[in-house]
Amino acid sequence: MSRFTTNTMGLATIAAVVVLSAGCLNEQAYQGTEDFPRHTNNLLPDPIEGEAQIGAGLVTGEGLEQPIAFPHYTHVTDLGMQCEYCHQAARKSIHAGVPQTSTCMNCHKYVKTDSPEIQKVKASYDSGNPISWKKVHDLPDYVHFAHKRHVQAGVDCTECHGLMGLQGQPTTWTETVKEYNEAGEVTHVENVAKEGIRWPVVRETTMQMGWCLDCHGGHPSIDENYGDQADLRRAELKDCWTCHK
Amino acid sequence: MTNLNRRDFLKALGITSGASALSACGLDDNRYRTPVESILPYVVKPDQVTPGTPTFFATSALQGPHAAPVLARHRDGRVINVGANKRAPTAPAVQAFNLYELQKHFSPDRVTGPMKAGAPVSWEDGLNELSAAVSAKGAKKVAYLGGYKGPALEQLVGEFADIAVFWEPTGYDALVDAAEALFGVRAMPHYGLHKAGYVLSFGAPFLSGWGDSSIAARYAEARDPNVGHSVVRFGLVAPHRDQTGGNADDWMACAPGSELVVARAIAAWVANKKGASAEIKALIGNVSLDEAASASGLSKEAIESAAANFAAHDSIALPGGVSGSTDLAAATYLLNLAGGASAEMFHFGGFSGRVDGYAKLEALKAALDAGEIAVLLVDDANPVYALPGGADFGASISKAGLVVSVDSAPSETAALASLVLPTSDVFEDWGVEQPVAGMYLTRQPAQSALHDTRSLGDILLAVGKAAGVAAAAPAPAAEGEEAVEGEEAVAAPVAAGFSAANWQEYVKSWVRANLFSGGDFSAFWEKTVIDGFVSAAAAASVPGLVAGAYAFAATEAQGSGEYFLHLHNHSQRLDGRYANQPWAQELPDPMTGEVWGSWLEVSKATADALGVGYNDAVIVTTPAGEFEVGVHVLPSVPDNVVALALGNGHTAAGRYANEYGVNGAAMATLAKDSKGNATYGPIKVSVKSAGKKADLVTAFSTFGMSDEGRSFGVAVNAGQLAEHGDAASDHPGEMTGIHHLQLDARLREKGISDFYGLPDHPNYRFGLTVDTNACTGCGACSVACYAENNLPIVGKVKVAEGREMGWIRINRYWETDQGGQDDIRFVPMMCQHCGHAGCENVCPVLATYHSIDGLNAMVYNRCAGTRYCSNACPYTVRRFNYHSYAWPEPFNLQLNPDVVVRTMGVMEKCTFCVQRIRQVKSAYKDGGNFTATVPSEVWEQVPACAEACPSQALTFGNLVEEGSKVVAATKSGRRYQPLEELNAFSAVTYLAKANFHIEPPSHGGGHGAGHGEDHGDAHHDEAGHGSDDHGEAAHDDNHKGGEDHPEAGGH
Repeated sequence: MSRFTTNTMGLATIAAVVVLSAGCLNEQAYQGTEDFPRHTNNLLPDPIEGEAQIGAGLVTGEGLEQPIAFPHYTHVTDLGMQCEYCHQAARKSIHAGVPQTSTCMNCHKYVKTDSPEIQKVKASYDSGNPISWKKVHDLPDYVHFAHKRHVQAGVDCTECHGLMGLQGQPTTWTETVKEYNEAGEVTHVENVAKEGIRWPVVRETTMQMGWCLDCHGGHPSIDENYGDQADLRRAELKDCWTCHK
Repeated sequence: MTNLNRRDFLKALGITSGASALSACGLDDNRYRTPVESILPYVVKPDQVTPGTPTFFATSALQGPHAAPVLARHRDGRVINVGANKRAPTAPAVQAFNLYELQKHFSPDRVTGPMKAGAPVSWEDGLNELSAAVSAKGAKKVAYLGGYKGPALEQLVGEFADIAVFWEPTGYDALVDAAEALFGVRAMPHYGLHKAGYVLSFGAPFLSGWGDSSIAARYAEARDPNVGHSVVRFGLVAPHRDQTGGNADDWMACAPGSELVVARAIAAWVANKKGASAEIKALIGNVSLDEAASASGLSKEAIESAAANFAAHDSIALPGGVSGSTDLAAATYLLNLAGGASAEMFHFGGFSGRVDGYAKLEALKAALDAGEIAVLLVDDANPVYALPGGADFGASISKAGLVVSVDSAPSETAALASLVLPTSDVFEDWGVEQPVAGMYLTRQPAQSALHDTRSLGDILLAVGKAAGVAAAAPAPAAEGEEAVEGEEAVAAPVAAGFSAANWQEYVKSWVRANLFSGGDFSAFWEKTVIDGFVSAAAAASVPGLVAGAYAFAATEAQGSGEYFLHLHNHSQRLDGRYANQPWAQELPDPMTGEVWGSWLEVSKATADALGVGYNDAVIVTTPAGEFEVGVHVLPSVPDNVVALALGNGHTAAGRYANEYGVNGAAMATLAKDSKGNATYGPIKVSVKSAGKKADLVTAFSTFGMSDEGRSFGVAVNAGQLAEHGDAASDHPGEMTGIHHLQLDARLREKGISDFYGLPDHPNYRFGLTVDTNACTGCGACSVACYAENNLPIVGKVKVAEGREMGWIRINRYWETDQGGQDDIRFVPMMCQHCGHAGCENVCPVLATYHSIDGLNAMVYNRCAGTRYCSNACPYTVRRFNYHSYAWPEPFNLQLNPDVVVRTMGVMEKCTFCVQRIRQVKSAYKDGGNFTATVPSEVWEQVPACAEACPSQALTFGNLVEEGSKVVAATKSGRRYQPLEELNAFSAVTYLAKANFHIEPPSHGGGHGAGHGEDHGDAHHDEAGHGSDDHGEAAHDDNHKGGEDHPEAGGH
């Protein structure tokens, strides 16, 4: 796949090349910042739906370890908090918005202040360093998704994100731990039993284009919102430029 | 298999190849996974910020006389674009220069932190060194040399430095000095071009960044046939046609240096004709037309006709550019008075700040040479590069005790500094500007400082305090929180000395002292910062003469040789201040198409005499030495003149400026006009062939002069246009006289207008109107497109290969009219979003298609790079990514997150800024109304090009909505579409340019009168009409063609 070997040679070198070898074309001078990304060729079978996933960061049903083991379950199911209390921008911006640390501290100045996880939140608040969450619902950069259009149209958060309120419950799992030698060979494999919150957030849907189009063709909100223009809207929603531009 | 559709097939394919990927690498091979990205939320989010939505800051990116009210578009922590501040009375004013300032802001060549002798140093050490030098100055002086950045900074600099020079090398000092000599005011004139019927320029590039920011808009208003039913006529007396001069209707190519005598002769003639006062006549002196004719090489009739035009209309005379002189400016002022210009058209309400010219610089040089300067601060002024004999000035600078550069951009002058204390730029700093009388613009930070820089104001305040500069000055408390709002004394505390806590407070107290007229200051300040301007009605009055006599004297020519060298500001890089902005380098010169370098414009006769042609190198010997440059043959200069643009040939101004072209300023010796101001007045040179090729690169793909009758650049009779304007015509396009095979006649006889029906557009068909009469070729649209749509810069070598990526190019057609006058037509050409697009049919992967909104969509993900579409496009507006182009950091921060960055192997083209279209629609839906059609007036300025156009030549809109401006344009008598006979049914309507030299078409049906003859019959025969009464029948067809026109009909 890799077309050229050098990287990070950009416009910076154009001037030099023009001066040194005007007319003598040096293709490498116009190289971009990186090789063609290999992950875009990825076609992994989906363990749940059996559908191919192109360029997926995560397989459906997976999550990532996060800096703080945040339990949605406690906040949503136990305490009944609304999504938009934390994800404030969902109705007014393309991003739903991960809450600012001060939102957490509204309550956690007083609640569970002795928990080691809350200590991490407090550390962020005190130091001014943001918490670096890992992106689980990550669309490729060539997809322009707007939360506000979906939320305002009446699409429920759970339709795409699944039952977030059940996520982040303590669980047990087995993790395969590998040891390597200096040559990078596996010397030891061990299955370790673990307990706690494994993945605070799990991606429950494929978030592939075909999955998007399932609704873009026929979500009930289209008829509700567009009335006699619903057919037109359905056509509009399948326009490539709706998401890719 | 019959049920297997395309997507199922791809799925099956995917699973198969997925299996092979698995067996090869395994599931846990992270190379096959998208890299995990992070989300960094705010710790405490500012109230006005919503992640993912833009915030707009009203500010002023340009400085001094050029300052313009703009909105900085802030997105997720950085400024990504600059748009028009429509609240301000002088909008729109987004010239390309505002965007160059943005690119300067993100330049990878900026100094990122304080430096001493080339090594990083802490701010504390740097400031201490400066403070120590200032406090130890003794009997010596502290000097400041910089560009003018508003009255508040002028006040602070004035308190800090003993000698302050606000240098402006564009020749404005001549204007101000002439105003003082004649009228006793030190201000630049304000030209109310919008009221003019005739403009006579002596070379001022007023459509290329000269004067205040809205002068081009005022010219466009005068040019608009729908305003007052008149079209301004533009006469140019100059030895060269630059971009501004390209717009001239009558070009009188005078000998360099003879503008003064021509101006005086016309003034004397007009004064006699209009019966001007004896006082004015006496000041002008007695100069006959014969005298002017013999000095200028023009015919007496040409000069008399210009004078007659001047006397017959409400006219304005404009002075010269960088080769003009104080006397020429004075002559044009007197000409305006003689012509009886009204106060609105001509008064001294222009820029009244400091535009120090050579006299001040000379005084500074003398002080430097005498060893009187202890500390020299250099900020945003580059005399070592831009001053003839700059090297001498550089030698003088080195005699200062301590040279400190406070400019974060590299320059030849800054390179001489031993200490660099980089300052925040216009997007990071506070400030106040006053570009014209009665108009104050506030500048506010639109993002936090990109690098380790500090505001110049903060540096001066800190050093002033530390060095005790203001010890003697009384220091009233700066405006602070303790002030009780309400019934305050109008005599508010005046900022003085260095007592202000910081530069922001200083600006605030300056505003309080100078602009605030009582009431609640907090509210006033808040409103001022939100609006970005304070305007007060400035009384305009006809200037009163104070001079009893004025001694005119021609500037003496320097050097010797058979040719004159005419130096002029480059239309993009100006005097060189924007040379390190790659947009300014890659945007083709509007007249020649030259990119990335210098060229010498010569006439055909000169080229023949020298035995050279395009791109042959010549050696030009000037009084200051000799230089080698490539030749561009163009009828833009008379036979005895060669022209060179300033602004190139830098040696230490950054990676995009250095070593491209030659520095014209260094090739002149410093000439002074009779009043002591520097001028690039007449320079005699000798030119000889170097016997080899140069390395010119022109981006004009056509390279030709004319459009060869293909109706790309079309002109109509100005009188007819002024009479009818753009009123709906029964025969749209009739004024142009173009006979188009709008629909194939044989098909229409059978009742079939076209084999394929036009696409259905239920609510929207987006379209654009391009008024070539308003377009001045400035290129702001093109630069705005680069900024909005993440277009890469490809560099000189790639442009030479035809791989430039600009989505809008401005075609320049050079037509010769029946009268023998050259008419230059600028025609912006972008994707025409055809109803029947050639590109759509040939794409094998459906990557380009016609959207339901009438947009010709281009989907990068689908594109397989066959380039068939580019081949099929009759307008050649598609651009292919032959490489993955890079944005050297921090240019990448300017990228628009709403537009994807394309990679190698992908086709791209104008999208009508689909991301902005969708944002507008989305904003309407935010209000809860999902089905409303967005009204047309909302669309008019939506695409970046239309927003940026200083003369509003571009209007966007919905072709389905009757009554929208774009629909009205399709009904105009001067509408046309290039290559309309191809039946592409494009969504872009062009409006023809006014021309004072051609005749109107002989009859209304749209036959070839515009080309001189009624050769309609020949056309009819070509169209296949066999009947004897073909003339009449074809005539009817033509009428019907107009009525059937797809855009006029609505769908």
